[in-house]
Amino acid sequence: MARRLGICLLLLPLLLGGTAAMAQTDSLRAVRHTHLFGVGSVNLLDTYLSPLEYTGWQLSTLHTSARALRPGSLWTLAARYGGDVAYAHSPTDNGKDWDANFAAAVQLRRRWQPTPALTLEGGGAAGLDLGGTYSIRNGNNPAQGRLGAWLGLSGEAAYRFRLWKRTWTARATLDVPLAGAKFSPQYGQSYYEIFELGHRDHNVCATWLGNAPSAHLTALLEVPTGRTALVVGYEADVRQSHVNGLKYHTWGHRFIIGWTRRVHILK
Amino acid sequence: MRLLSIIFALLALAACITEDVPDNTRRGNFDALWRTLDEHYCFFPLKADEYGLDWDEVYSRYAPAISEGMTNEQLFEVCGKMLAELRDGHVNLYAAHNVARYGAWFDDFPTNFSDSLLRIYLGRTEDYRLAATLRYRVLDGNIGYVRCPTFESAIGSGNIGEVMRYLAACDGLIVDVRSNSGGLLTAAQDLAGIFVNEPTTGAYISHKTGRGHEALSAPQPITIEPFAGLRWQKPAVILTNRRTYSAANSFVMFCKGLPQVTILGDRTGGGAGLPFSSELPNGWSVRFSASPMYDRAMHLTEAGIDPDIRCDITSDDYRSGRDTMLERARQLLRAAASGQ
Repeated sequence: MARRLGICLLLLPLLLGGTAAMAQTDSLRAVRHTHLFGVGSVNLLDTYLSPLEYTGWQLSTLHTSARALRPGSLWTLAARYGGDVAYAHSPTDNGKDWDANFAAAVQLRRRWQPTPALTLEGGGAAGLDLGGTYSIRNGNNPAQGRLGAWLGLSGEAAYRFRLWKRTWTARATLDVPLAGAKFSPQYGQSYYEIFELGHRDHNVCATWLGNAPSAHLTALLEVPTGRTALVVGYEADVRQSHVNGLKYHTWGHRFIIGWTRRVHILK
Repeated sequence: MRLLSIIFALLALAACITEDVPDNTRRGNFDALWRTLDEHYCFFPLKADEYGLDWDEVYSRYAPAISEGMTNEQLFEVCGKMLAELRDGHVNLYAAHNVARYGAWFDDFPTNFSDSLLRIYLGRTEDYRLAATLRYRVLDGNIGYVRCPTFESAIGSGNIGEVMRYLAACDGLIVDVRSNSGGLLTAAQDLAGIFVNEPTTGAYISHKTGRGHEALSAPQPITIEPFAGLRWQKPAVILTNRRTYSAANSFVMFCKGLPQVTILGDRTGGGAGLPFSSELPNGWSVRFSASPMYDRAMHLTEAGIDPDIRCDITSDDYRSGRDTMLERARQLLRAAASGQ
């Protein structure tokens, strides 16, 4: 299992690169596009800026897509990308943070169908995170930038059921980074040293489940409304790291709403 | 399944990454302040060597003064006194009602600067030019004078270029950074760039690599890039006093030892630790030296930089409206220009 998973992850770029070529032989293929907008709460900690946890509100957008690797294939190629902006304050409301992130991931998952109504998928994922936090109160450490890439696991469960003569779908998707790398200043290193003077000191850090336990979860209900489906649900965005002695977490919990539609590609 | 079990077991082990912060009580805030400095302040080894600072002993001396019944102002006073043990102008505690600060580095010494005297030399507003923060004019004897009161904002290369062009025909240059309390290190680097013709190591900087007092990175150079336009090749004097601090102290550090530059005045105030900020559970801000800077000889300049020529403004000169330091600088430059 582990070896197969490793091979899947290693082959992911090749598979992605090969998708376009294979598509030329496809005659008809369904692609599910989902557009979501979210609002929710955020809990933010970055000890480079402050030892205190900041809390506030967050707005987000998320786009996902999924398609069979080829017609009839048991493999699903999926992707997601999205961004969020947060405004958070310190416990005493003296400090304010602006936080923004962009994240993208591609997933390749094997599909199982234990029952006609239930579809389970499991496989690998690769992702990229980019973001930053700006604190209005700090002098020479006013902001923190984030850039990271990861490889991990991805899973999805979808359950279809009939209600009011229509087919509804409940879908939960989970990505868990296992290993990767991220940018971080050294414990007390200023951005002046990094970018103005060009000094480097362990600024690219290896991450793994132990020092960067993170996860991205969406739990969605697809409500059929004609050619598209209304989607409502919950998104949990948990990003954490403990590198160079600096602790970071963003715990975002968001209510999301949007729509999904299937596009049939004819080639 | 076994792999999944291991992964989820690891995930559960790692769980949430959080920071333990003391409660928002009198004791909690005092402890948070002491710990912030304990883990992030960069000059403990220097201060231990200089005057025997023992941060644990400081805690044990001040902690008994903390009680939950004390007022905010009383807590602030105790915290401020504890911070003063660091003898560092870059260490501050900011509350709504006051800022705790250490000022012995200038309070115990002559000011050696006077706005009234400056007005005599610069003249009225229309008599001198102003480029960004730089005030400049040509003094009697064809000596260029540039008053740089702060590095709080960037000095554009266009500004420096215009100043240099205007003063290009002068026989000598005085750059007055007295009572300049600092600001942007990049502004100090830019201004120092007029005195070098090739990339020159002006100083070294390191940073904390962990919570330990001795956990510091190997110092790496701060390179002064030559100014892209005109560069000053003739003699120059930089005027300093005890309030020449932080980025202004760094400017002096960058320039000291350059062949055409003489530092004249009083010892600078120091402040050679790039400050970082943090905060306490009650919302008070704390600032502290985080990244030590060293001169070319790898000496810390936290305690200031000695001038090449020591000079104070005399009481008689104060009374007669004469700036002893500026006159001495002008005399030096005139002598150099006439080849004496």
